[in-house]
Amino acid sequence: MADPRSLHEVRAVLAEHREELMRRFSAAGVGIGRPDPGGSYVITVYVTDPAHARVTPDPIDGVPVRCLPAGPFHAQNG
Amino acid sequence: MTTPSDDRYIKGRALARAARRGPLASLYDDPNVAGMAYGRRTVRGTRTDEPAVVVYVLRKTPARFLPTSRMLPRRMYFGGDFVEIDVVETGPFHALAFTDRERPAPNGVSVAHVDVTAGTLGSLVADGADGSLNILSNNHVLADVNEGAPGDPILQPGPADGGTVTGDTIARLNRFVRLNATGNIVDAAIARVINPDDVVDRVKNDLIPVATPDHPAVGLLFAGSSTRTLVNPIDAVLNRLDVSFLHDGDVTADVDVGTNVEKVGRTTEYTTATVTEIDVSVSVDYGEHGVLRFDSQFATAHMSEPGDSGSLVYRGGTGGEDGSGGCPTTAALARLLGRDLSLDAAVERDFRERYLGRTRVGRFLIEAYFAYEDRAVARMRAARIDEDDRRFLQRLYDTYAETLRAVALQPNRADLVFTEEHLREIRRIVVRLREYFTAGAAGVVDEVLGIVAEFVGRTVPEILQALDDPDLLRRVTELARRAGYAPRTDAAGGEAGGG
Repeated sequence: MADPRSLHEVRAVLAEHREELMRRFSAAGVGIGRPDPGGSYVITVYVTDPAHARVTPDPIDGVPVRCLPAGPFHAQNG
Repeated sequence: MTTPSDDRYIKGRALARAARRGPLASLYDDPNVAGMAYGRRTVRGTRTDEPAVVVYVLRKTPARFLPTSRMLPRRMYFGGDFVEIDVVETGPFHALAFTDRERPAPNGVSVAHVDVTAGTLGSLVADGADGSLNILSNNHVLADVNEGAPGDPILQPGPADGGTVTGDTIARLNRFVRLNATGNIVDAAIARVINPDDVVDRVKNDLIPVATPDHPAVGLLFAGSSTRTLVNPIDAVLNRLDVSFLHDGDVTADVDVGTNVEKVGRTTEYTTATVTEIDVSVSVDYGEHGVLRFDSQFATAHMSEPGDSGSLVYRGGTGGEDGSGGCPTTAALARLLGRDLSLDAAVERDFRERYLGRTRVGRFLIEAYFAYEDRAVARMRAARIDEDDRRFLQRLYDTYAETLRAVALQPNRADLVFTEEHLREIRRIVVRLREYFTAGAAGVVDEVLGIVAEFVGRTVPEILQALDDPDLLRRVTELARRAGYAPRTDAAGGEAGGG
């Protein structure tokens, strides 16, 4: 397993692969999360298709990627 | 009937006051007691003319379940005199809705452009250009997604909450950061306050402080899904609009994953959550205005609903990532019922995996539910549940939770039988809650009840055996298809997710 990456490094990886991830998963969004409070930063992909939520993608440049069902997003006027 | 001038009324009131200050004073420490008052005893729904101390309780508990230390006497004696004691179930009391007209209007209440439904008055800010007093909220709340023009009326409450131009104009649109299709950092606008006496730089009901160095603002809430709330970073909002908060000092801060935040908004009022992601790029649906892309946002666990847009988000609170181990259904139900469902969620998960999921119909229902969980949770959260219906659901939970846990934990017990009374109760529930069903579900509910009726007289193992019947699976599949809830995956395979 790769060494945990610093936030700075994960930001750089995300910046490079942001658009590709959005396209590949038809994602509602992407961001940087930390599922384990003491653990590594990971790239989080917000997916809307339940099938994608079951996928565990390969790490990108050593940074883990996780898919979460978290969309679609709506502006929240009442 | 007593009147305020009757001797009996005057004496009763004095005795009630003495009782509340004396022997009954400790009741204020009881978490089930919402308050006390002087009134008249009610017997079987009819108010009598007997003066009484009325004890408001969140939930009335049958006497046989109360420890003697918590039993109240029917009347309290003072020498030869006495006053009646009446216990009334009121549920919790709430402050006035955040959707009301308020002058001065605090942060956190309903506000909107005249052509918008309703959002939240985030905060008061000073315009960097001229120092004037302004309301801060979203572009889509104050400027109708770029459609508004400077000078347009801003109403408090917003039009969806009854605000009108003639009676409720509190400010006029000043300026906004234009939203565009290709990329945005903020959804923000300001409106100049017409009369400074109409606003106050406090948060509604003083639920939390305004932005201070110890309680810094971190963002402006603008969008959400069933599991996440999206927030613009506050420094970008202030810079793009050229505004500042009214307090001196460093009153803003950045967040990291794990930071706890809190907000007060028009719909969900006070909520707190934990930041789950930073550096978020996301597509947000603005209805007729299309899907707009935002970058450099942060996301929290779900903490908002439609109408909360424009809420100022602060560092603080206890946070939480759904409060339910990440299961949005449990989180939504827990909020609806006002009960801690963590034990129920654990028991249900075990039962689902070990028993229900091993039957054909059970697997199908689990798959169907999780395929549509987002929609179901969104409906649950958006539903305006009538307070009577909420109490009805709470009573159901309190009545049956223990039995259902016993069923889930020991489904092989032969003494747990599904009875006619259970069926009648389910029918009563359906009748009571039918208005909340989707049209598809309402169309098949009678046939579903017909299937449930076939289980009367059977034990839990017998019911589980019946749920493995291929013929029953065909009938259930057809009903689900007609109701619009057919899962996309093969019911016979795959693992159910969620929780």
